[in-house]
Amino acid sequence: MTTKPNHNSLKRKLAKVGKLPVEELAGRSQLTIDLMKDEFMVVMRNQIEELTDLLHAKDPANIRSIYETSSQIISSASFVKAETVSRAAQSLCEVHEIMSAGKWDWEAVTVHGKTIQLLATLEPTQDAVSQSLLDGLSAVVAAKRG
Amino acid sequence: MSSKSSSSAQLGLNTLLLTDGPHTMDMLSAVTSGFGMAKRFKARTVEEAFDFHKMNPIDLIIMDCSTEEMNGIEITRRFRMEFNGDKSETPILAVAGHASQVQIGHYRDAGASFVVAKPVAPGILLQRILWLAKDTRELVNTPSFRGPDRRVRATGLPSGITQGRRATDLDATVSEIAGQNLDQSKIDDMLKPVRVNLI
Repeated sequence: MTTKPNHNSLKRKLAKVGKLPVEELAGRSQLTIDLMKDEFMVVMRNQIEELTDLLHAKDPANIRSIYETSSQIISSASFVKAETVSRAAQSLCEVHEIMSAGKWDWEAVTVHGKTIQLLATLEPTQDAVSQSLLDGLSAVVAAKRG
Repeated sequence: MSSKSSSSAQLGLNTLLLTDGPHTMDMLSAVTSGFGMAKRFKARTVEEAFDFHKMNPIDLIIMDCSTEEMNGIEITRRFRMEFNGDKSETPILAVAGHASQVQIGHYRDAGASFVVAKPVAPGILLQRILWLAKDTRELVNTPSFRGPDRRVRATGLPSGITQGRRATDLDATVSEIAGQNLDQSKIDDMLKPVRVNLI
């Protein structure tokens, strides 16, 4: 085994740049993201439809695709500030990993899919309903974790 | 925000973006759009990414690959083992869909420099890139592993603090967290080095 100091080009370049205005750089990206919000709302809805189809088929060959689609929903939902949808998709990824290592249960993933669908239709004013639905998913994950 | 006084701020890095999803490249591009990268090379296949890396002076690799065909953990390992010299040492920032301790450990053991859990906000990603600039880990080269030094240990809460602010903060007993989704602070703890005396 050999070790050496880490002097990569990223470190060299950023050392020359000095202190950067993080909020400004991140804000510029956020402006771009905001301009794409409508586009990604469509993307998110399509991904939720795709997930619904995968769950409806209950085909073991789709198990990997369910994770991949859920992972994509986390991103698209966060882009359009649908935080509850993003959190429900994270929960699906979590329960997916737990069950992939043990006993698979279609009901546990199906309830996640239906909840994601429902959360995507709720108004921002329906916080209590959203939270209640997310609490339900947390209970499912906790039960599967044992 | 004063665009006049500081709009020229930029990272100036040549960055390779690698992702497999149909829309994830658009998202990754948007998230990094304001950082002032010198160039962004956008690859949708491993072969394309390797070609970009061979032909260009890449400073940073950001990847979001979660499909069976494009497994981010395996791709990370290949970047480390199939390139030589400086090109095997380029920082790799991996975006993970589900940040379980197991998954983060796999990325670390493949040689990733840092893992960021989805959803990826621009501020979070930028902070991680800036952290890489201050990364003091040495680079390890063995027949089966190349990448930042992995010899780390969990340190728990700072001295004198008996209770964390978050439910997920480490305490003296950490055995219950395996398999749970990790928040970014816990991922950071898994990747930041603390030198351990071997004697």
